[in-house]
Amino acid sequence: MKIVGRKSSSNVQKVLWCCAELDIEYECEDAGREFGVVDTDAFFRMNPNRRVPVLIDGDFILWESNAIVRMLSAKYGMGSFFPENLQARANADRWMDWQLATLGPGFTGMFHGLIRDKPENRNLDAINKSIATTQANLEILDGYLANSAFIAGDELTMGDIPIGIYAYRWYAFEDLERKPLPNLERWYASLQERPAFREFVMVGLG
Amino acid sequence: MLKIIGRDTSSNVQKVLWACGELKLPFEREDLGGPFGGNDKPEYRALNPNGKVPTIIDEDFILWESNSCTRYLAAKHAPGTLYPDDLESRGNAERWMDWQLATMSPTLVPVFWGMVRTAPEDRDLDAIEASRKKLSTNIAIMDNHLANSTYMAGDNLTVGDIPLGITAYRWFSMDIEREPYHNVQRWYDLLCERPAFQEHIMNPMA
Repeated sequence: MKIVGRKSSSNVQKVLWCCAELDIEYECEDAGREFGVVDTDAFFRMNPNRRVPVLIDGDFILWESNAIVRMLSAKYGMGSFFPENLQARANADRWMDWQLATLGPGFTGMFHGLIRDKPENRNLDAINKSIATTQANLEILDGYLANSAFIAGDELTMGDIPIGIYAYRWYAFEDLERKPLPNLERWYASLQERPAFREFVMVGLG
Repeated sequence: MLKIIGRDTSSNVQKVLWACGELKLPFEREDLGGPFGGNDKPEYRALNPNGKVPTIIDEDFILWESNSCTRYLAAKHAPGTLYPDDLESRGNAERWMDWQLATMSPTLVPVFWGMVRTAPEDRDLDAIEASRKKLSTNIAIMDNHLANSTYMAGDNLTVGDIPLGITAYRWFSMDIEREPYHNVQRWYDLLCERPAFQEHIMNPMA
């Protein structure tokens, strides 16, 4: 099994962290940003969106990071990482979708503005709006985590993966004013104890 | 009985309504959102802190995120058909659900708002056309995929067809220029034959 995509991509990190938690063996091929590859015809045939990650498992090719995490979790973590109970699974799925459509788009402005733009090119209004949106979104997550150790119960599941990566990125910014979110901070502290999280997610902002 | 909260003109509510129609699942529905308001009422925010629709209540289980609601109902009532058992087929279906959420929807929304929710004299036609071109590029990606697949994830309808089927209805129903996409047209014609699609999706847009 091969994972195509640069290790600095949040979407690639979802898959790498998932594989490490489930002891899945794979080989990795860099692609995207400084590595190129996504502009080639061969890559387009695998993923017409020209984005990473792409999973190649024999004849089977899959893109969309959350769909890859779901599939690997179902294949290698049935009953644990991929909850068998349908309500627990729906809780995991819900927060994966929420990262994709709500948390992720809200965070893009601050991440690109503060990490990828030169200081003289920064759009401060857009950055501040993105910070406020992300703070408000994380308050929603904090409220949910008041009643749940992890996203879908007492143990880590696939549902913790996408938002766990955003939690790292939120707390990795220096000099950012953050309102305290005790439940989120408690959950995030437990992620930081995991070797797989430290190895694949806590790798700096780039 | 299953309860669905949300106005039936919302594409996200329609995902759940169409799924219920395919599953022959009885439900009661309560209008909320859009002209009905109610998104910010504390009692609704207690169910769904995002204030968006839909929210579903199944016995005592409360769930939001339209794609997750669709998955949950399909997994509960149609394992092996609408929610494929085979992990590669399911991964394929779920990939297209995620893609609708994060990639397709942001290109449809500006066209839909411009053409359906804005008076003709107030339309920014250049901005609408710029979004329409991006939307068309995404429809082309679907068209390419459907060249080798009857439905989005194989020979039968699955959850993978539901979010994009609603996108297709809007694409074919809005008063816009449309490039000919023969595979999407063939697939869309199949959807239009389905009573649940006719009942819940093929309605006036608002």
